[in-house]
Amino acid sequence: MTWYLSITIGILVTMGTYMVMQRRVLQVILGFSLLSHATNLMIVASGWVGDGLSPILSTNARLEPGAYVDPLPQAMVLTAIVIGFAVTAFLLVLALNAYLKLKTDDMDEIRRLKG
Amino acid sequence: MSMLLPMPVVLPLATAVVLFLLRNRQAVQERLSIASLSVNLVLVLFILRTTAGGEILIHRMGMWPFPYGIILAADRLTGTMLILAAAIVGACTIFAQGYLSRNERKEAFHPLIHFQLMGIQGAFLTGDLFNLFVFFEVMLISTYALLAFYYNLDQLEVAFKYTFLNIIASAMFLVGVSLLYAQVGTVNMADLSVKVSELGPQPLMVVTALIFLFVFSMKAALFPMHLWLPSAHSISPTHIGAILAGVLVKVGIYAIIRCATLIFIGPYEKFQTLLMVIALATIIWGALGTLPQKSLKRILAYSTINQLGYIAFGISLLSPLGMTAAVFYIVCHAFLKSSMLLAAGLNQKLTGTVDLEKMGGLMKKAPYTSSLLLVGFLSLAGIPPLNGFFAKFFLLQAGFSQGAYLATGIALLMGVVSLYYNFTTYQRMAWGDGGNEVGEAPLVMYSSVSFLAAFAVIFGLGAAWLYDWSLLVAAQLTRPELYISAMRSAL
Repeated sequence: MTWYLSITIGILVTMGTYMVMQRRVLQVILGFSLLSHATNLMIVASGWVGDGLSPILSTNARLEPGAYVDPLPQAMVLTAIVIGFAVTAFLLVLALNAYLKLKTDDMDEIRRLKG
Repeated sequence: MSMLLPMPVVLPLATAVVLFLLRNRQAVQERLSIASLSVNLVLVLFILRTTAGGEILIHRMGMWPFPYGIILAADRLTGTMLILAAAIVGACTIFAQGYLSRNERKEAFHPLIHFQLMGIQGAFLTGDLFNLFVFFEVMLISTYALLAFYYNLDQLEVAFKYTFLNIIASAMFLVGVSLLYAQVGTVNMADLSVKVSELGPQPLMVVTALIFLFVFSMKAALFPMHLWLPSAHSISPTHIGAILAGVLVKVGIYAIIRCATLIFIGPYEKFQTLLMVIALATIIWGALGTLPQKSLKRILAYSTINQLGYIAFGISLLSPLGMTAAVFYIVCHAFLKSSMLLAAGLNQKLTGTVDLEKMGGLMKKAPYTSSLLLVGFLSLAGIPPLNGFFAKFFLLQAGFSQGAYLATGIALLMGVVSLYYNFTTYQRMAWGDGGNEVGEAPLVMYSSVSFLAAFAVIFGLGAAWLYDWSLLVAAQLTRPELYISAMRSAL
C-alpha cells in the first residue's frame, strides 16, 4: 500500500504544480487545492502501518498497539482539510471579486493592469 | 494561574463572533472592540507578570496526559511577545477609528482584527507544532481578508501574491509536520525536543528543520522570501501594514527562535552558516532596497526587511548573548516600526500622499507629526540615546565577542547605509518647502502614534532595564530542559 500512496502523492504534487503555474486564477486555485490534498495524504502516510487496522477498539479486538494505524495523524488531517477548505473558499471569493472589478481572470493581466 | 492561559485565545474569538453579529450597529461594535482589546492587554500583562519570576505556565487542554493533546505554555518569551501583540494591535485598532471614515466597511474590520489577534496570541502560546499551524492559518486567513480590504486593484494584486505565497508555505508546513511525525511520532514541542536530540542530526532531520526554516522565514520575510513584504506594507491600509510590520513578521521570528532553541537544536547547529548568510543577505537587500524608493511607506517596508535581517543575525549566533540581542531588537523594532508606519499613515491623511517628492516642508506645516517621524528615523538610524542605537550596539557586541568578525563587519557596514537612507528620507520629507496643503487628522490618530513612539524613547533611556529583561528571556531560552520539565510535570 505504501508505494501506491507515494505514487498518488507524487501525481497530485505534479498536477498541482502544473496548475499553479497557469495564468487563469481558477486553475491556480485548483492547483493549490490539489497541493493541499497531496500534503494531507502525506500526513496520513506518516501514521501508516503496513496493513494496519482502523484504530477503533471493540470487545474482541486484538490488543497489540502495532496492529493499528496511528489515529493522531488522522485527527490532524481532518483539521488540515477544514483549513484547506476555508482557504480555498476565501480564494474563490477573492477571485470572483477580482473578476467583477477588473473583468479579467488572468494573473498576468492583473499584474499588467497594476503596471 | 495557568487557567488564565486559554483566555488570550478565547477572549478575541468570542469578541470576534459577537462583533460580527453586531455588524449593523457600528457605534456599539467599536466600543466593544476597544473594551475587549483593553481587557486583553490587562490579561497578558498579568501573564507577563506571572512569567517574570521564571515560572513556566502550562495549561493542558482537555486534561490529556503529557505528550498527547494540546498544551498551552507561557515562558518569558511568550509573555514578552504577547505584550507586543496586545499593545500594538490595540493601538492600531484605535488608530483605525480615525483612519477609516464612517462608510468604509468598518463593520468587517473589527471582527477580522480580533480573529487575527486570536491567531497571533494562540501562535505565541501553543506548545504543540500542529496547533501552531492551526493558529498560523487563523492569523493568515484574517490577514488575507484585511489585506484586500477595499478590493482595489493594487490590494487585489498584493492579496493574491501574499495568499499564494503563504498557501505554499502552509503546504510545506504540513509536509514538515508529516516528515517529523514519521520520524519521531510526536508533535508536542517539548517531546519533540527530547526525541529529536536523541535521534541526532541525521540528514532527513536536517531537511525537516530546513523545511520549517523555509516556512517560518516566509512569515518573517527573510531573504529570499521577502519579496511580498514591500508591497504588502505599502498598499494595505496603514493600520494593517503596521500590524504586519510590528507583529505578524515577529510571529515568524518567534517560531524560528523556538526551532533554534527548543525543537531543532542539533540541526540548527549544523546549518548555522546558512542561517547567518540568510540573515546577512536580508540585511543587505533591505538596506540597499530603500535607496531607489520614492514612497515613504515602501522605504519603511524595506527598512523592516533590513531590521528583520539584524534580528535573524542575532538568532543565527546561536548563543545566549546573540539571543539576548535578538530579543532586545524584537521588542524595540516592533514598537518602533509600527509607530512609524502609523505616523506615515497620519502623514498620508494630512498631506494626501506618501510620495516623498510631493511631501516637502513637513516640518513647518505639521511640526508634531514630523517630530514623531524624526524620533523614529533617528532611532532606526541608530542614534543614541534612542532604542535603535542600543539594539544595534548589543547585536554587534554579541557578534564581535563571538569572533564572527566578517559577518558582524558586514552588518556594521549596512548600519552606515541605514544611517544614510534614514537621514535622506527625513530630509526629503521634512525640509525645504513646497508640497501640497496640509489637512486635519483626528486626535485618536495622534494619540495612538504618540503612544507607540514613546517606547522609542522609553526603551532608549531605559535600555539597561530592557537589556536585563532580555538577558532573563535568553537565559530561559538557552535552557530548554526547564521548558521540557515544566511540560512533563504539568498538572
